[in-house]
Amino acid sequence: MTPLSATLLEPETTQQDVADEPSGSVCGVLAEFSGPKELLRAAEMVRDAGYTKTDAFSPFPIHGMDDALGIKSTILPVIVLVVGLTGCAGGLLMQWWMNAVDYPFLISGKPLFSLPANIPVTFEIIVLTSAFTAFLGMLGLNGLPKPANPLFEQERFRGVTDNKFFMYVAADDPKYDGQEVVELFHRAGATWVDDVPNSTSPSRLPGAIKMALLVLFAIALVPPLMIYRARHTTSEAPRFDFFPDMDAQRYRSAQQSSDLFADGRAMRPQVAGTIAVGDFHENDAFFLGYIPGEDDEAPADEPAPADAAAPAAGAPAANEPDYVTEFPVEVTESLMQRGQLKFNIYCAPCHGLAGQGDGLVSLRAIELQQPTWVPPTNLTSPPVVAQPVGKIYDTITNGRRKMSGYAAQIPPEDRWAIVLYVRALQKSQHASLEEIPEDKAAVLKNQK
Amino acid sequence: MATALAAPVDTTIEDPTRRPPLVTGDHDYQSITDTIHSISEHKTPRAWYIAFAVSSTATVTFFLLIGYLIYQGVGVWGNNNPVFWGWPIVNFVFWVGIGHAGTLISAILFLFRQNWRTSVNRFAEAMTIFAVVCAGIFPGIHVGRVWFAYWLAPYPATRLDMWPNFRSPLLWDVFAVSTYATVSLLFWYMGMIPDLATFRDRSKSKIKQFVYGVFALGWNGSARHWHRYEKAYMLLAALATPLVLSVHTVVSFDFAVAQLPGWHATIFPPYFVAGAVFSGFAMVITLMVPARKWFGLKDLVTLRHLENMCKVILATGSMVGFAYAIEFFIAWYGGNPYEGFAFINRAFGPYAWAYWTMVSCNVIAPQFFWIKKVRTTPWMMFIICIFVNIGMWFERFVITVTSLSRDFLPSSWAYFKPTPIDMAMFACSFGLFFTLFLLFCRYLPIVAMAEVKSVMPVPESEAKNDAQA
Amino acid sequence: MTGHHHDISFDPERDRSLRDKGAQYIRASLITGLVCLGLALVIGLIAGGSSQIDGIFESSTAPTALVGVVELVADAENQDVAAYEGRPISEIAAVAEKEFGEELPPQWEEFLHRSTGSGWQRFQASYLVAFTFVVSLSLGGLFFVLIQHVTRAGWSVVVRRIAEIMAATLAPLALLSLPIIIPLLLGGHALFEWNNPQLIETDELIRHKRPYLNPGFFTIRSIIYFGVWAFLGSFLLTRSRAQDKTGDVQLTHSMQSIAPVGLLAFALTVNFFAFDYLMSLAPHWFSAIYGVYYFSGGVVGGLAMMILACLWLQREGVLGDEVTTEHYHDLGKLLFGFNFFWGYIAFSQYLLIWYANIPEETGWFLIRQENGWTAVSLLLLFGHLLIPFLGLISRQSRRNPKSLIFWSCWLLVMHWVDLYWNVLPQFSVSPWPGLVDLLALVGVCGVYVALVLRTASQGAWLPIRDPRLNESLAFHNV
Repeated sequence: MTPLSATLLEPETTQQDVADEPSGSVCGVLAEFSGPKELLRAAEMVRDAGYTKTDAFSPFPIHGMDDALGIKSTILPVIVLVVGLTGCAGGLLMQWWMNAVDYPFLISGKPLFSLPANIPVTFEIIVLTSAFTAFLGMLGLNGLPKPANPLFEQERFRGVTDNKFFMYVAADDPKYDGQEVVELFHRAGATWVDDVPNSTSPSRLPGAIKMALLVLFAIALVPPLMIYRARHTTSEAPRFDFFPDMDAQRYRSAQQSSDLFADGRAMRPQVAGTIAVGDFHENDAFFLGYIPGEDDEAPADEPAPADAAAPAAGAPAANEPDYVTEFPVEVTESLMQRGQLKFNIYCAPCHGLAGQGDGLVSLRAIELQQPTWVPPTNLTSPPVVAQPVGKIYDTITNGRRKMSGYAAQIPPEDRWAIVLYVRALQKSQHASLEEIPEDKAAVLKNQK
Repeated sequence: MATALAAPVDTTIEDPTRRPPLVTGDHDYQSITDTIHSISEHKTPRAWYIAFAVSSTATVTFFLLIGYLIYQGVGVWGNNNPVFWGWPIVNFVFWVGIGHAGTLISAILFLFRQNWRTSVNRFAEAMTIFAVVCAGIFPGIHVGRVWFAYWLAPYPATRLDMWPNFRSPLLWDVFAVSTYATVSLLFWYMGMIPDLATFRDRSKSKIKQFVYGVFALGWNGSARHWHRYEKAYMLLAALATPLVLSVHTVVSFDFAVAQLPGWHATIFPPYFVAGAVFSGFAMVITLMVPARKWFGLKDLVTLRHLENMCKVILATGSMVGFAYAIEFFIAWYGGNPYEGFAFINRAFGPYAWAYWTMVSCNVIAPQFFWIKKVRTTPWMMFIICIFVNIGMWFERFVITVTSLSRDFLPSSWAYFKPTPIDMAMFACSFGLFFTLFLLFCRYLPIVAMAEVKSVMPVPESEAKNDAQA
Repeated sequence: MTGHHHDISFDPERDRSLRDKGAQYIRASLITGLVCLGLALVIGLIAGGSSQIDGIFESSTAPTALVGVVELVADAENQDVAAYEGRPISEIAAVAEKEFGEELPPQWEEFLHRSTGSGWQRFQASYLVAFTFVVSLSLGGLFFVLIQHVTRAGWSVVVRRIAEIMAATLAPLALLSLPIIIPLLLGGHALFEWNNPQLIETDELIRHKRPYLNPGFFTIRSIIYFGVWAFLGSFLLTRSRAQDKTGDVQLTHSMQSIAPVGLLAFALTVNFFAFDYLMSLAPHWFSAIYGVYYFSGGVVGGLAMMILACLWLQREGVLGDEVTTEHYHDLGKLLFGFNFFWGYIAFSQYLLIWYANIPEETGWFLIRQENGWTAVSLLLLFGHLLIPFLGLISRQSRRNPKSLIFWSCWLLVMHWVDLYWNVLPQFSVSPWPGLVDLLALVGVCGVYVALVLRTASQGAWLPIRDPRLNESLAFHNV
């Protein structure tokens, strides 16, 4: 044997031992080296000696080992690229078919197949498919998971994931000769050389596990078969609905039939005089703004139809309903504040913040020279001042001339608040200095 | 055999003629393995049990709250007209953002050949996975009828008879976040395979050997396997890099494609990504500073590693500040009164308190990292990074809530108030995060041993052999 | 980093400058540059530009405003819009004037004659494209140097000097901004319509921006941008050159200290430079990401130019085998990565504006989809993003000099097309570059190359005593 570096040599590895082993029971020769540089050198020597079924083992990848062992570059990147591009095409196709062909629906006017909007999902699909391919491809090409490996039956080899470095030549290499390999390793400076016997643990699956797997497989077939049967047969029974969510109810819907009633309809007409809950408005002064007489039309339920307002409003004083002149609500400071708030929201756009008919909408319409524009009334003008509060209330509710009614938007309480505020606005144009409280008058006097 | 006898090397000294060692303290390969494996091999320290008890209590509370939410409905939250996106979305973006640091450390720093990443990447990737788990829960539960969440997937639905709307950023989110979770998991797991093999080979108990063995897939350190492994690692890194950019970009699209003032700014995509990396690195430091002390990792995660991370925080924090400045400028420059109002409102409106918290935590706090002393002192970094995370939560809050509470129509303005459920859920989501993290620390290799071994200075024993051979 | 260590025999005393050839090249490119610029100006003034009124009506590519007016005219004459297909727009405009006269909005005249009142405007536009192009290349170089210092990089030392020289060229480049600034200060508004007194009077938005967009402040800002860049560029170059003589490590420290602050200043100045010179061309439009968009394109261009410069210098014998395949590989990787980043920024900007569909923002993209500009937009999508992405994706293509030359030239051209696409649609209805554009480009590039070579002067093209030089020489990609 050739001289080697001053490190231990296990007693088992004698020429005699290696020569005596029948070749079938050895799967290769394993040698340990002291560090990455030594392993690299050994790998080069092994490669130069012409062995091909070789491998090096280390706790971390060693730079330059690929060349030293003669490892060809893996095809993995190409596979990943192909799968990635397929994923790209697939993603685009999926979105096109699902959103533009099978169930086209418009989203805010965007084209059915909007490429800019479809890019993010496509990109993610590319990455997902490529990543899976890289991972699974790596495992597949490496032959992992590999549950059993004869190398691991060497106790020493377990150090490969810690700090040990090994070199291996397989017995089925064409140039293999146990003797020569051992000598080569010693020349390369191995600190330990041994042959690796074939694994003695059984490589066939135990019968019990095979049975268990078969049973599991059989059981696993049941659900798809059940689904297949369900999809290819008809049934009178209703579908399974795990979350019924009150989907199917036994009450009769509006348009359905019913044999309980002579006319066969499930829908029943209302009994005369029926009023919905909350719709019974006794207080005419509050809800209508006027007291209806016998020759007036029947008091309209809220909300009043708009066209009913026209004959009532267009008629001159002769035919006027009996408008109330007193507020049917308590007049308080907070009601006034609320009136101001609501007036500014609903009325000011047309009538202006001071109620003088100079709201922004009106100004704009005039600016655009709208031929059909009727300027809003100046609420502080004498005719409106003369109107009873009920009439103002009625105007808000039902509209007047070109103004439509706000019954739907403003509840009655708020409408009276607005009327109160309108009165305040009117007062503001027709008040005298004496009517103003002392402190506020002083402020006004000081203003220029 | 680690010898702590050598004087600690100061790796933060700037010396252009030499690269500081990435591992200090005279380690060799075996001592690295010992250091990391002993964490899971030793008897579980009491502190771990206490911490685990606290975090798992919080986790259980979290799931109970979720049950309550599903039972009662989304009304238990503060979301209401007009602020329909409240804490849940803010929490989602917060957690997703934190996750980005892990992928950046793993993938982007790998592509830039920053070898110092090897000590922290496993830790950070784990943080990413757990942060994404927390993140994914919030959009899942906020839909109301959670049991129909599968409708978001493009499967042939007989009940619905229709497909998801691929033009919606919310659906892009579904794809982006699930892809991100999957790819991060793959990357993390693949990185762990060699280390799980180490654990398998070093474990004493049969059960541990079996479990680690199953997950190590039979890894044996073969150079041929390493070749394909490295290729796959590089491919995953190259894929994860645009992925991490795209995920937070898609999250930013949730806001930026809208027409809402304060939301619709074209700078959102890179701004959000920078912000995500910013908050993620802050969380890594927050976790790493105590971890390196308690797990004895000071030689592997040196002050230089921490300093590098602080520099990244400073850089990304400056990018965030830059984006604030540009947004502000454009709000004025564009001449859109609604946009201008939105920004004035942020700074001086009813949420000014949130805005100024955000500015002081995001813009001012990281500026302390200009000072070398601050970025090489662990307890200082720890405090600043907590502020950074607070600031980043507030940033998402400011963006989401202020723009919604004061949008175009004044008559719909309202002030959003969170409910106790909102706050409890957010707090308890940290419980879930820490529970998973504690489990990781206890049972899995928290440092990428194989990678560290490949970049550490050659151990003395090998160097001696070199000289002799 | 463990790995192969080549035995590099590096001789610091070898002359790594262009010697006499340098002066020849400077002269040649300067003369070419100035002559081409002059020709561009002359041709521009003679030829004028194309405007809407010179064209033929084609409903598929016509701007919506024009289609609207044609519909009105068709209504008035009781005809179908299709009857006007292929008719000269001047004819249709005459009919519109006759039928509707004052009812046409005041912008109609402007719209018809938009793109040129004069060839002077067309020349200015072409000059602006070329100017911002060369500035972006130097900015790319400056960014490269700053980043290498901030990250304490070792691999890039051998190629850093080229970037330093490009960055320091920003100082004399300030002179090239004068043909834009001086007409502005003299009250011209051929290029920047926000300086048009008539528009300032009638247009509320332009009035609103006047405190920012006025010639005085614009000039001051320009001085600040170029001042900051000139300072940074020359700081880095002079210290790096000083280190050639002494090898003083302290110089590296000072460069590393200024780099982070430099990056902050860089970010702000580049962003607002892009806002001022490019975004304000469309004063009603705005995009917060525009500065980042310009920056990303500039980095791509800068890297491409560095690759070409390295290869050329090696061919000239100035640089030997110090710059190896490994360095080119890394430059190729950065080129690939930043090109993807440019695509990402461009796509984000487009997607957000397309999705929200707000007219004040979409207008900018709309004119880039009309009158045949779609072809240029698609050219950018495929030529700037998709094709180079596939071309540079493989490891081999980034290590092969021929491939790198091809893709660097390709990307430089595409970067110019990008800036062309950003500027010209405001001024030209026809999308095809004319002689003015090409001459202006060659002209400005000629002057730029001369300035670069002059900045390099007799210095070495490699930091021969940088403390990290050995690391760079031994650098080997995994």
